[in-house]
Order: sequence, then C-alpha cells, then structure tokens
Amino acid sequence: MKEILLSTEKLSKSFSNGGTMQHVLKNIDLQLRKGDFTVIMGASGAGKSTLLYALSGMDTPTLGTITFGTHEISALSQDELAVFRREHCGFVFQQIYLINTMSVMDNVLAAGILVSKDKKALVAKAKELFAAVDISEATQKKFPTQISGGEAQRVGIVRALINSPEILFADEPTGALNSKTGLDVLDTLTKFNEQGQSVVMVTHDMRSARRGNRILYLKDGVILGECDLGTYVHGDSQRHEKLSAFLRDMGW
Amino acid sequence: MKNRIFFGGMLAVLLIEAAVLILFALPGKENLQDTVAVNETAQAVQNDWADLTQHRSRTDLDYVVLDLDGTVLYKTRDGLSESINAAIRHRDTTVDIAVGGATVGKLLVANNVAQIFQAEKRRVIVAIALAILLQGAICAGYFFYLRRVVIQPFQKLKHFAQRVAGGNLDIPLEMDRKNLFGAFTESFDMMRAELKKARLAEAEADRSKKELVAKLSHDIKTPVASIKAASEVGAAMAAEEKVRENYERIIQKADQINTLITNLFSATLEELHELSVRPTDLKSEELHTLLKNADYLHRAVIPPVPDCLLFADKLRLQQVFDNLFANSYKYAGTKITVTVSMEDNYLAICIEDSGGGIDEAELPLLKEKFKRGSNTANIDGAGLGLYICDACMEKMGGRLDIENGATGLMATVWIALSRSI
Amino acid sequence: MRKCFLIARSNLRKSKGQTAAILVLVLLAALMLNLWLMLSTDYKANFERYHDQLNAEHVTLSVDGDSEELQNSLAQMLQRDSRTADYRLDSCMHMTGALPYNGGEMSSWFVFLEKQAALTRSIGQIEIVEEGACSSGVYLPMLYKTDDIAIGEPFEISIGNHKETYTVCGFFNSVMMGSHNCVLTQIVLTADKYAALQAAGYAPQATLCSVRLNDPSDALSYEADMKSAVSEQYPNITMVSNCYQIVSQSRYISQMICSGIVSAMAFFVLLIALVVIGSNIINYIQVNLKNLGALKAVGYTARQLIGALLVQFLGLALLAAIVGVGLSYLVFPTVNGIMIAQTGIPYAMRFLPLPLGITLAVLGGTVALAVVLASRRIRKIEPIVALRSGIQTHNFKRNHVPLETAKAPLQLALALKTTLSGIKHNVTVCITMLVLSLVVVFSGLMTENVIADMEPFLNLIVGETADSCISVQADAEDAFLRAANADSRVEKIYLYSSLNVSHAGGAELMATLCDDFAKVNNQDTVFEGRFPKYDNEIAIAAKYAEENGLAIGDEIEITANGKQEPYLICGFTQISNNLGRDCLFTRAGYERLGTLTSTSYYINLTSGTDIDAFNLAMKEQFKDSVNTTINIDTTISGSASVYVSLMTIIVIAILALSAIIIVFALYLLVRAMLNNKLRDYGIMKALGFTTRQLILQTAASFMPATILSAAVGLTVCACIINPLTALFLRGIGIVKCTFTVPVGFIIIAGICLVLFAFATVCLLSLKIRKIAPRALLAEE
Repeated sequence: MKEILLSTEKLSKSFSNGGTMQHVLKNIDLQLRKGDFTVIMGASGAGKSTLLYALSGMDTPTLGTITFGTHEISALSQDELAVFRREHCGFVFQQIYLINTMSVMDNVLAAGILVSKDKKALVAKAKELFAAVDISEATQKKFPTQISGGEAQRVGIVRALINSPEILFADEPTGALNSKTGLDVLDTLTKFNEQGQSVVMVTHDMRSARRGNRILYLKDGVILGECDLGTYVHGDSQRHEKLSAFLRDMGW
Repeated sequence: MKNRIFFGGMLAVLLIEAAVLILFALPGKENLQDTVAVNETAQAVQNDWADLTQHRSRTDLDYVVLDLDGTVLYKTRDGLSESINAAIRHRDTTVDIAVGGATVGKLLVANNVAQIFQAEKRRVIVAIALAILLQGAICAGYFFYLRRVVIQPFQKLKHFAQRVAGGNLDIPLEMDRKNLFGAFTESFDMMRAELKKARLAEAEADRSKKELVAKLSHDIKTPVASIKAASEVGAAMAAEEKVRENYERIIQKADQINTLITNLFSATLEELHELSVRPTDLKSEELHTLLKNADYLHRAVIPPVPDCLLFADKLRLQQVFDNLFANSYKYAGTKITVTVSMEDNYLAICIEDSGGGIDEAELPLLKEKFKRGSNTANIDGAGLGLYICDACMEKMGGRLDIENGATGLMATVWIALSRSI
Repeated sequence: MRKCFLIARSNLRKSKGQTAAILVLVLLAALMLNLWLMLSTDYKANFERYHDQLNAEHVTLSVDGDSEELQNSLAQMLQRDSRTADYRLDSCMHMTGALPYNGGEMSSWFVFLEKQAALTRSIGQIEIVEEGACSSGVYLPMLYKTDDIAIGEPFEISIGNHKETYTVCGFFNSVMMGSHNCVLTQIVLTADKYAALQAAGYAPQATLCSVRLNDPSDALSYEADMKSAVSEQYPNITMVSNCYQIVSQSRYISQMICSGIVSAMAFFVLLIALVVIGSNIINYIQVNLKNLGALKAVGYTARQLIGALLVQFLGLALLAAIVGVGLSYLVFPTVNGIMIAQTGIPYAMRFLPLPLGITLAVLGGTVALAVVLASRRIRKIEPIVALRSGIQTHNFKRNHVPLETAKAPLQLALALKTTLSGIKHNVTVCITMLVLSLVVVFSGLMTENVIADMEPFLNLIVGETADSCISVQADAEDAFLRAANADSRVEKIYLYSSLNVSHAGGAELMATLCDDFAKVNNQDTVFEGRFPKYDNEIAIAAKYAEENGLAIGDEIEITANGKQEPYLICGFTQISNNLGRDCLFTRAGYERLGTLTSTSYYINLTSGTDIDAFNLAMKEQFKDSVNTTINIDTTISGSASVYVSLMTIIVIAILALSAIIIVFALYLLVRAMLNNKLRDYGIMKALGFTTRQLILQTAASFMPATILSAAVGLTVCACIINPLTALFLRGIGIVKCTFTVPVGFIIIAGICLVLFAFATVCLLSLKIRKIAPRALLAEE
C-alpha cells in the first residue's frame, strides 16, 4: 500500500446563497496516496473544483477535517494556509492565471523565492523544468500575453512544480485549451506523474480522465464511485473501456 | 524611445544654443564704472592724504594718486596711466581729491574695459565649444545606436532568410527586445514557426487518415459476419419454427413491459402520504440545538456532535427527539444518558434512561401502531409516538432502534449522512 | 441627457469610496480658494468702505504747537494746494509713549483728543464701538481691547517719561490712527482727564491737520510736500504724519501674508485634487473598458459616454465646491477674528458672489478639462476590442527587475516591478509629495524662525533689535556715552536714530542714522551692496529703489530742514517697518543736512541684566536729558506674539491639511491599484503569498516614488524656500529672506512624511485581506 498523503474525514462545504444554504460537498471521506494520479470527475456543479480547492488548502471546509501529511489544514487560518500552500501544494488552473505584468521566468521565480532563498538552485530548477515542458529560453523571457495558451499552461505547470510540492492540483488544466495543446499539457502531467509526482486533477473530459490511475466520480457533492485503472500505458484500449464502463455505471 | 531621447536631446541643445545666442545678442548691461567703489577709494585716499605711504587699497580697483604737480603719490600696480593725459587717452576715470574744501590731488582709476571684453570673449568661445562637443557627442551616440538597432538586425535577418529559403526551419531568429525592429523581426520568426507547424500538421493529418481507413475496414467486418451467421441459422430452421420464436420474443418483451409497469405502480402505492418528510442536508452541529430543545427538563448531558453533514428533515427530527425525551420523562423519569457516535454512514444518537427498560417480548411491538407497553396503564397516550418516529426516520433514510440497554430503555436514532440522492 | 444621468448614477453607485474622496478633495480646494478670494478681494475694499463711512482723512499731520499763527499758516498752506479737497485743524496734545499690548508693550506716537472733539470732527471722526458707564477716563482703539484691558478696568499708559493711570471707558475705531502700525495712535480722553493732562504738561500742545484729497493716490507725495513746506517755515519743529497708502498697507500686512499662504494652499490642494481626479478617471476608464465597450456596442456614442462622465464628475465637483464655499463662510469668522486682531478694522461678513463664481468656474472648468482630457480614450475604444477587454497589443514591455538576477529580496523586487510598471501612479505620487514637501519645508521654516526663535523673523520685520533704546538730548550726549561705556552692564552701545527726510521729487523717507554700521546687530538689513561708510553715501530701501528706478551707484538728492544734498546709493535695504520707505545714513552723512537735537542709542546689555532697571538707572542719572527709554524686548514681544499665534495657527492648519490630502490622494491611488491588481493578488494568494506580504508589497511599491520625490522635493524646497518666502513678502518690502532653513527638522519631517505615507498605504490596503483565492473560482 502506498503512503497516504492526504485524507479527509466528513469533509463538507456549504455556501450561503441568498439566504439558503447550499451544500456543495457532503461528508467526503477520501484518501490520496503518494504517486497517484487521481482524477476527480463529475458533471458541472458536482463540486469537483470545490473539493479540489478544499483539499489543497485554498479554501477552508465548512465541516470535517483534512489532514495533509501531519498537518491538519482545516484548522489553519488564511495566512497559515497560504504558507502551507506555498510549501506543499502546486496549482494548475483552468484559466492558467499567470501574472501578466511579469515575464514567464519571473512568474515561476516569484512562486519559488517564496519558499527557497537559494536563487541559483531555483533558477537551475526552473530551467530544468522549462526544458522538461519544452519551453524555450526565448519564451521564458516573454510575457504571458505573448505566448500561446498551451505554452502558458505548461508554464503554469512549471510554476506549480517549482517548489517540489507533495501534490500537484490541477483544475481542468485543458479546459481553456484546444485539443492539440490540451494533449501536450496532459502528456506533461503524465510525464511528471510517471516520475513520481502525485497529481490530483479535476476534469469533466473523459480523454483527460483516462490519464489517471484512480478515478473518483463526484455527484451532488458525494463521491459516487471510484475506479482503479492501474498504470497508464499509451493507447491501452482496455483502460478506455474500463473507464467508459465505470462512467456509464455512474450515469455519465 | 531612443529616438525621443535623441530628438529631445538635440532640441534641448539647440534651445540652449539659441538662448545663449540671444543672451549674447541682447544689448548687455552697460559696462558701468562702479561708482560706489570709486567713491570708497576717493574717500579712503582723502582720509589717508596726510601720509599716503600708509594707504592701502580697499577695493579691487586699480588706481593711481597724483598730487597737483602730477607726482605719483600712490599706485596699486605698475603699468597704469600715471599722468592726466595718459589717463584721458586710456579713458580712465579721473576724480579730484579734496581735503578741507581744497583740491589737493587727482585720483586716476584705471579703465578695465579691455579685460572685461577679453573675459567675455573667452566665455563665448567656451560656450560654443561646449555646444559643438555636446552636439557631436549626441550625433555620434545616435549613429552608433542606429547602427546597432537598424543595420545589424538587418544583417541578421538576411542570414535568417537565407536559412529559411534553404529549408532549415528549426533555427529561430534571435530577437533583441530593445531593438527598434523587434516586432518586425518577430513576425519573421512567427512566420518561420508557422511554416514549421504547418509542415508538421500536414504530416500528422496524413498519418491519421491512413489509420482511419484501416480501422473502418476492420469494423465493417463484424456486422457483416453476424448478418452472415443469422442468415445461416435462418437457412437451417424451418418456416414454422421461425414464427414460434418470433412469438416467444414478443411474449418476453411483454413480460418486461409488465415488470416495468408493476414497478411503477408499486412506488405510488406506498402509504403514509400524510407524513411528508423532506430531508435536506443539515449540519451536524444543529443536532445539538435539537437535542437541547427536546431535553427541556435538562436531565441529560448533551455530548458534542462530530462534524458532518446529515441528511434529515430538521422539523421531523425535532419531533423524534421530542417524542423520545417525553417518553422517558413519562415512563422512567430518571437521568438520561445521551451518546453520539459515527458508524459507517450513519450518525447514531443513543438515548438511554435508568428506568430499567421493559419486557423483552414487548420490544418489537412498541413501534407498531396503537401499541403501548404494559407499564403504561396509568399514563395516557395513544401509542402512536414511536410508530411515527420510526416512519419519519425511515423516510429520512435512517432508522429507529428500541432495545433494553444496561440501565433502562435505550432508543438509538440512526441519522443517515448526506449522500447522493 | 437622461441617458447620461442613468449611466452617471450607476457609475456613482459602483465607486462610493472614490467618489467620497474626490468630493473631499474638491471640497477642500473650494474652501481654500473661496477663502483666499474673499480675503484678497473684499478685505481691502472693506478698508475703503470704512474709510469713506467715517469720512476719514487721507493725510494726517500732527505739528507741535497750537498757536493761532501756526494754524493760520498751516491753513494757508493747505488751501494753496490744489490737491486738497477738504481739511480740518484741531487742537490736541501729542507725545511718544507706550501702552501694554499682548503681554508686552507697544510704543507709538500718541495723539490725545478730547472725546467730544474727536466725535464731532467732520473729517477723521471716530466711531465708538463699546462704551461703559464711566464718565471720566480713556477711550482706546478697538485693537487694544484684551481680557485685561476692558471697560471699567484701570489702565496704565506711559506718556513720554511719565506714567498715567486711567479707567477704560470704552473702545473706538479710527481708520487712520487706530493702530500702532499707523505711526500715529489716537487716544481719546474725557474732558476732565484731557484738561488734567493739559495741566500736567506731559504732552506738548499740538495741531492735528486732517486732509482729504481729491485723489487719494496723491497722498504720499502730498505728505512729503507738506512736511517739507512746514519744516521750511518752521525748522526743527516736531511733526509726525501718516498717509492713506502707508496706513492701508500697514494695516493689511498680516492679511496679505495670511491670504498669500491660504492662496498657495488652495492652489496646491486644487493641483493635487485635479491630478488625483485625472488619474482616477483614467483608471475608471481602464477598469470599465468592458462596460463602456458594451454601451458603445448597444449604440451609445462616445459623446454620450463622455457626457455621462462629465455629468458624473462635474456634478460632483460643483456640488462639493458649493458645499466647500459654504464651509468657507463657516470658517471665515475665525480667520476674520485673527485678521481683525491685526488690522483693527471691523469686517462684517457678507455674501460675495464674485469669489463664488470664480471658485465654481475654476473648479468646474479644471475638472471638466481633466475629464475631457482623460476620457479621450473612450473615442478610440472599438466596441469589439473593448468587449474582449484588455486585448493588449503585441507590445514589448520591459521585464523590470528580473527576479533571476535581482539582488533585492522577493517582496522588494515584486514591489519594484509594480512601481516601474505604473508610471501614472508614480507621477501622481510625485506631484503630491512635491507639493507636500514644499508645505512641510514652509511650516518647518515658520516653526524655526517665527515660533521657536523669533530672531530671524524680527530681523526681517522689525529691522534692528537690541535690548534697550534710550533717547537723550543732544547736549547730554557726551556725558551719557561716557557713562554708558563705563557701565559694566553695557555690552555694546551705538547710535541708532530715526528721523524723516525727503527724497527730492519723491516720497518721504524714514532715515536711520548710525555712527558705525559695523556695530548694528542685524547685518542683513542691507542685502545688496553695503552699509554707508562715508558722509556722501546712503543705503535705500530696495522696494523704493525699484519703484523709482534707482540703482546702486546712482546719486539721489535728499532734502531736510530746507537743505538739499546729493548722496551716492551704496546699498539696498529691506526693512518692512515703514513699508519700504527707508534709508540709512552715517551720522556724518546726515549732519550735512542738519544737526541732531536728540539722539537715540541702541544698547546691548550683558545677559541677565534687568533692562527696566537699567533704563530707570539711566533716567535717574540724566534726569530730563533723557527723552524716553524703551525696553525693546517687551515692545517686540507685544507685537510679535500676534505673529507667533498667527503663524502657529497657519502651521497647524497646513500640517493638518497635508495629512488629509496625503490620506485622500493615497486612498484613491491604492484603490485604483487594488482594482487593477485584484486578479494578480488573487493568483499570488493562491500561490501562497500571505496578506501581510501583499500589503507590505503594495506599500513598498509606493515607496520609491514617495521617497524620491520627498527627498528631491525637500531638497529643492529647502533651497528655494527663502526666495519663495521673499516673493510672498514682497508686498511689505522684503526682497531677500535669510531665514535659517531647519535641516534637522526637514529631514525628520521628510522621514515622518514617508513613514506616514507607508502606514497609510498599509492601512488602506487592508482590503487585500478580503481577497480570497477562491474569488478566482467565481470567474468560472
């Protein structure tokens, strides 16, 4: 059994929406293991992103506890969460969210220097990651508005990985991209996962979901089902069928 | 940007030059003799007249003092006019020295216009030289700048174009951000990148087309095979058989429809419509309030409830607790112990009194309609409470267990945790 | 138009905080502007109104003696002059003297009049403002009314060398003789006291000529002509005079200073308000690019959109301006009170349409201009482009402070990035800080030179100060000097006498004589050229020289006692005492024109010496040979305390105003910045930046501009503050200021200013706390 990185207990999240309470997550009991590529699937409004942001300490749960390694992050204050996030979590957003006023390199370094003071090592690491995601030196000096969406998202992945996070959280990383560049981004994520990086990804796209080895299906704030796909091998049609069957069961 | 600096600099230099010119051209201040200094000198000479050997110049004027005979009594330096005539020729200022009302000598203050003129000339020369130098420097700077910014990039661009023409699309054009032609050269590089991309896409499209053809040819084989097999079976069977099988299939489908309809009806036939229970998601912390409300005689210590989201109807749940506590008050009247525990997908709330419980045989009957325990003869009641409670709990997806505990009757309310509906 | 209103209203609702801040800035600007306009336009006019109301004289002359013969010849002289419109001669007594004033004492030339006579004079009559029940006592000019000097209270006055005590019966206003700034100060006695004073003979009998002229602007030369005519006929006669110009100017010195400062403040506040409004509008347009594009797409024209912005900002500005003007009427009585303490002329506040009009026009016009200039961009917005919002053209922005190579810590580097990419903000910050540093330097200067140590200010305003001034008869001079030089208490003694001479063909000048100008305490009096050294030299007031086109090295003719002599101008002086009608002679120089009948000596005493005791001892020793003794210290502290309190109020007001301005300007800037960077801050928070880090980062991003402009501003202002102040004080004859610039104070104030700005930005950007990374999700 792989080491448990993160576990939740009766995790619930509610929003007040014009007086009525809306419960987006309900009693989620979940364990994430090291090295897994966990995919959270579900229809729009199922609470996928809310779950992701709660797991990653971006947002505090209404009820329940989240234990990340040895920290109980559900009990931390906003600022403590921020410090926690920068050290343990990496984020890839659907809207990418690079800071437009900074160059690509600076976008990555701004996140990195927060944690590490060793700038030299950091730059070296950034360059290594950039090379891994196929971002050229020239692009590193450009501004986010000057590069394509696919490039931007790969930069987003580099930024997320610069601090060697325990878990990389990706919220529909291909949502804003066309299918070709989306595939590139997925390949990148898969590659890092193969190197041992734990990844949690939210998606409603089956093609993306296929990359995971553990699929959670979320509906109305509850994990409806779970499917273990085993390790990913490119073009393995069995996986695809297994996933399709699972999703059919779930009423996809 | 650089252009602006250049032109701005040039303009500034030109303006300064123009200003300097105007300044020189303007009728300057008339070069007047400093009357106050002359007066001071004259006064000093008059005061010191008795012994001019002790006289010291108090101003920066150059002058000569003569007596009435033209003898030089004092001079600040050599080379000055030392007679009235020389002074007139040199346009020197001549002042009478009067002591006690009588003129006793002459003060000749040297004319220093020539020196002033020389100094003025030097200033003009320096100013013009500086302006020329500055302009030259700006021009030279601009020339080097232009060279770096325009000529060199174009040379680079030439090599680049040659490479692209030769079919080498992999080497990007190095761009200099500060370069005037940055955007321009970048579009060249974009062109190269696009060309490269187009070439790759073309190759990709070619390959996928081949794949598609291969796959389709395989897929079409399967249905053709089943059609073939069915035709084989059809050929083997007699005509009467075939009709019977068709009938059987129809009966089978009719059975299916029947089942479906049965299911549909069975749902509507459920009774207890009068008790509408509308469970929603409920925060577990609200249970605490419900229990507090129910235990109005404060006979129980309400333990903390673990955080979770429950699936329950708040109103009905209150009703259940009210009932249970009221029963305990009525029949046992002792302290009540409440324990809360989380089990599986339920939150179990265990309410136990110290009344000793009831006959084991009566237990299953308690939840029935209009059934009451044997010890209730003197206490009025309809025997409906627990029945309703049980029904409510079931509607919420939970249940109600009644059993004899260690000290008395123990009711356990199982509330379902929120799940997908 | 209605559509414009609709848009304007929705705009307003969205940005309440910004609207409020702009409102306050405009309000302050309107308040200051209107106050200044009221002070500068109506105050002087008020003097003229009051002058006419009391039918006051244009030239006043008090001449020794009241014989019939003297009066007849005076009358003849006055009648002969065609410039005379009306005149009046009254018997009076006159004498130099002193009375308590503002904790010190003030010395002036007193003109004593009998109450009935004073009230019934057809020219220059007095107006009794307050009157008690007593029938025997003294009436004083309104200016001297204090808590101690009130109706029914005893009051001690020095007349020459004698002291008299009277009961105060009331207070009056007199235009030409109502304050010590007028040279002549009128004291009105009841009939019995007047007779008693006459009998005591402390003050000589005199004739008071009050002349009204056809053209008041002739008063100055008329005064000089008349005095030279009288002295021609009666050489060495004592006479004291003043004229309309001198009085109207001198009574308005403080009002001029105050309104100058208020106007400068108004201008600066207005400047900052406009810069801030301008940058705010630009920011607004940037933030609302999408909405504006949508409106354009729906069919609004650029003209309508700009119209809406105009309605929005102009409406607000005018509203705030009207409220500000209203407030200025509330503040005015306070200012008026301070002014009246200086001018002694009552002023009834009234509504002034002109300042209101100008204020509204200036504020409205400038705000409209700012809006139109800032909103030119709207014309260029293409609806489609705007709808896509922020489609930035392919621009090569510089990557400021690349983190890869930056040596600075992360926070600072990020702050610097923000600073360098927001030039517009920096400009606004710079302008604000530059203006504020001027304000700070000015208040520092005033604190150092007026409030903390009066010396430099006194040197400027009063001219020469020493400890004691003793005036002795010419015949006792030698004995007095011997005694004084032998006295161990005397540190320094020098002749410093003032008397009147005339510039031939020009005005009357107050001449100051000294045996050796190297001895005088205030060596700054002559700021260009040098003091006179020889008997044919003269130093004259720069203001007078400028008015008459005189330069150093020129020769001017001076007349006195019927004699006329040429003098060489060797220097320019600046003494505001006599409003720039001064000249300096050596004693030998004056003696070419006449002899001194009495001489005034200024004496510096060793520290710790009781000045009054010394004066008394000298008076005992020389008895009647001593005309007057003046304790200069107390005299000065009397009149100076008014300036000190005025300056204190101004400095406090200025500093408070600066604080308000800085807060509001920064508020608007911080808001704009937060609006712009909302997304970036959200991302940064998601990446793990804490609120504290972001707040500090925001505050730090303001610091380069703040520190730089504060440093530059303070340095430049420290250098130019003296000439600038001189410019303010030009009206009272100051050409060159030599105030000590308080470097320590300025440095500390600069640091405080920067820290204050930092703290303010930190406080204002607390809003960052509310930015949740979750807000990023809301965009989905």
